[in-house]
Amino acid sequence: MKQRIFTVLFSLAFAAALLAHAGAEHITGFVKTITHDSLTVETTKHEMVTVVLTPKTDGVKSSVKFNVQELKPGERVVIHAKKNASGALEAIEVDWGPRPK
Amino acid sequence: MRPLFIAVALSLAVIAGGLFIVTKMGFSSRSSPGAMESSIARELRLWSIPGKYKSMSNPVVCSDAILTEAQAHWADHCATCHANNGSGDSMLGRTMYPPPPDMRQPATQSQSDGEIYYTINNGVRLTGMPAFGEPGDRDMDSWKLVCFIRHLPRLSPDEERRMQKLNPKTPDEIEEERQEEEFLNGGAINQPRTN
Repeated sequence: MKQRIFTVLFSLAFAAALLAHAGAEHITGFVKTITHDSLTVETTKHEMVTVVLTPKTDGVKSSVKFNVQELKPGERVVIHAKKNASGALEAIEVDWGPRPK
Repeated sequence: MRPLFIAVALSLAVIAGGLFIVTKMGFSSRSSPGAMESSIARELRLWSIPGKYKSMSNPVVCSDAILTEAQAHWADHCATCHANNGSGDSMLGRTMYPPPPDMRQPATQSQSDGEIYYTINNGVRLTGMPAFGEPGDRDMDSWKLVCFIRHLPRLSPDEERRMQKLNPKTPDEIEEERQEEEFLNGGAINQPRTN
């Protein structure tokens, strides 16, 4: 019985670990440049990362929708991105501003 | 005697051919079922649902409060495989065999309330779908999920965003969210270099 419980708990823990981000990457950093179809940030690890912006990319400012094109260099963002078919990081959501409690 | 010999030889050849393909290519859950396999499996599964469920209507009135409750339930228990929007496009869903169906589509939405309930309550053998809730046809949580499944084709991005907050998270993800929140709130972690 103990072994079964252990097996179930282990499986759940493994599944939870697999679920981390559900395949999405989180990029935390400061906006460097923004164009109509790309956003480059300097991450908190001082790396430059560029993500593709699409019409499907959601902008969320303090949990309210906003137009990603309103972003200015230097602003703090958290980007949820996934690799697209061509291997480029595509932004699903760009968070900006304090998150409400 | 000769026809029997030919039939046995042909059967053995088919089995040998099948074994050869399996040993060379293997069985991977990364591949997708073919159209014929999907169609046969779907029909067999629908036939396997007892007749009384086919005409059963949802005893739950799908009010806003019920939908909110069912959304939270779905986000916590079902989205792992089915995704919050029911598309099946989740990390586990994408690599399951058979993959979870896109429940917004007619193949699911055209089923009766009772058929959908039966699937939730009894699972589907030889798939990743387990049986949920109390056995029988009065498990109210499962009926509430039927309300939510009916709502899936009209799920809004805001609803989906609210559900993301209710998805199961690992301790690492919780810590990462805390750090992201601190960063967005202006926390002084790793400011950019000044050139």
